[in-house]
Amino acid sequence: MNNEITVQLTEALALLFGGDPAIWAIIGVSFSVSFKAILIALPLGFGLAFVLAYGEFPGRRLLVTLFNSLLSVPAVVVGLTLYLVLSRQGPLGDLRLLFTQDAMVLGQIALSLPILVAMGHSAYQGGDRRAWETALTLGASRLRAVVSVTREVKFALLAALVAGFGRIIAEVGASMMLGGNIQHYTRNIPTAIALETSKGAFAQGIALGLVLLVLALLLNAALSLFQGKGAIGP
Amino acid sequence: MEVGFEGLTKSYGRKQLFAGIAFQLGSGELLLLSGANGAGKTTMMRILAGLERPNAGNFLLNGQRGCWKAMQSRLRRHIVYLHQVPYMFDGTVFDNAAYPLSWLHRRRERGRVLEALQWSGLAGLADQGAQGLSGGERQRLALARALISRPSFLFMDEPTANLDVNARQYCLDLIRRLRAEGMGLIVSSHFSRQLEAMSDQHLRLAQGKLRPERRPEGGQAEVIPISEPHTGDRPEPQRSRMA
Repeated sequence: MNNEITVQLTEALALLFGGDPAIWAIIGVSFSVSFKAILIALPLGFGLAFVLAYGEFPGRRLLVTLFNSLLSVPAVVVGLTLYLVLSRQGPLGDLRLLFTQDAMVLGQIALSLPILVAMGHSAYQGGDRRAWETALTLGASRLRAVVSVTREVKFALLAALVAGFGRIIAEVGASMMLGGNIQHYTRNIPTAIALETSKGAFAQGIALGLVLLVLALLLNAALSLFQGKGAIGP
Repeated sequence: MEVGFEGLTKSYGRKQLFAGIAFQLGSGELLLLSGANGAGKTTMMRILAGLERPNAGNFLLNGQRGCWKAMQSRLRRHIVYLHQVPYMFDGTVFDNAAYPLSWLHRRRERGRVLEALQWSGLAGLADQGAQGLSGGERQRLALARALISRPSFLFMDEPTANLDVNARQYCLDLIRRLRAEGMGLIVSSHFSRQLEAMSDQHLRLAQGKLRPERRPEGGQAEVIPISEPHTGDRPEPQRSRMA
């Protein structure tokens, strides 16, 4: 058994470092879709988080509770909901987005948004409110004051970003339902791992799993590095 | 220039903090605001600085009158409010002092920022992180930062609380010089003989009403000479006038 794992691991490394085009195409799709999704979700999520933390309007607490609850919704349920919306008979069926990368991007935005909003809201709310007031009283515009407050809580927001990206790069349910796992088009790392493992081709699955593992390590190392630089005090 | 309000009312839920109070402050005047904890001194200053909404009241700024909402942005443009413990943004002492300047003006007006730091005795710490400053240094940096933004009025919430004797003396000296620059000042304080002596008006906020406080017999504004500030190992501030 140990020997079998070693063989599969060696084969996986050969696939990765040998420049196997199929493997790298899957990695490319994964990163392209997830980067697009997080780039769109980021301003939206942190913007909402700021409004929920600093705004005063009816229903604010309800919205906070809603986004906190959405954190625990499984990816496959998000995928199913969007599938129904994007399918031919659905309200957005005419857009013909189902089984495209755009549909996967939509799914990943829906998955990352609650994380960005909930964790972003905690970050802004945990920050010092005097930062906002000091910015305003010193003549900053509202936009500049928002930027200043965001800079003050940047480490907590960075953690939210890493958590959000971590969720979407590794999720399989929504990508499978909305992308359809089409080779060279919508097959990403998690859907490929699920497929190759079901076929018994463990080497490919291990190779792609290693990519996710290295990515997780890199993201967390970068986060620790930034947070270390932000040490307070002399 | 003058700033003030009339009929100002503020309550939190069922608790009424003050009702129907009025006052006015002119350029170069120093108003000492006293009152017990929770009397509403901070709230009153924050409302007038455009940071907190009142329940009712009309505001006056340089001849213009209006409700808080209509006057809010104008009030903010002319008034700087300093928290009891001033907030320092993440960055150096210089970055904090230069905050009121836009990025475009920051390089061009470097000299003005350094002059303000010199004025507050912090020029030697310009490149140091602002988070590492002591309470007194934070107060001085906040005053220098306020000076850079060139407000017509400066409201200070207990600026000398939690400061040792030397830091308090230094802070009072800067306040006196800001008044000499023509800035209108409100300083809230529980009790300070020195501030009382320096002030043109002393109002007490108690039981929801704002009343003039009687000066002690023979008391006059600006009677206590402010001694040279103790600077320790810090560079001594220059008494240059800020334009």
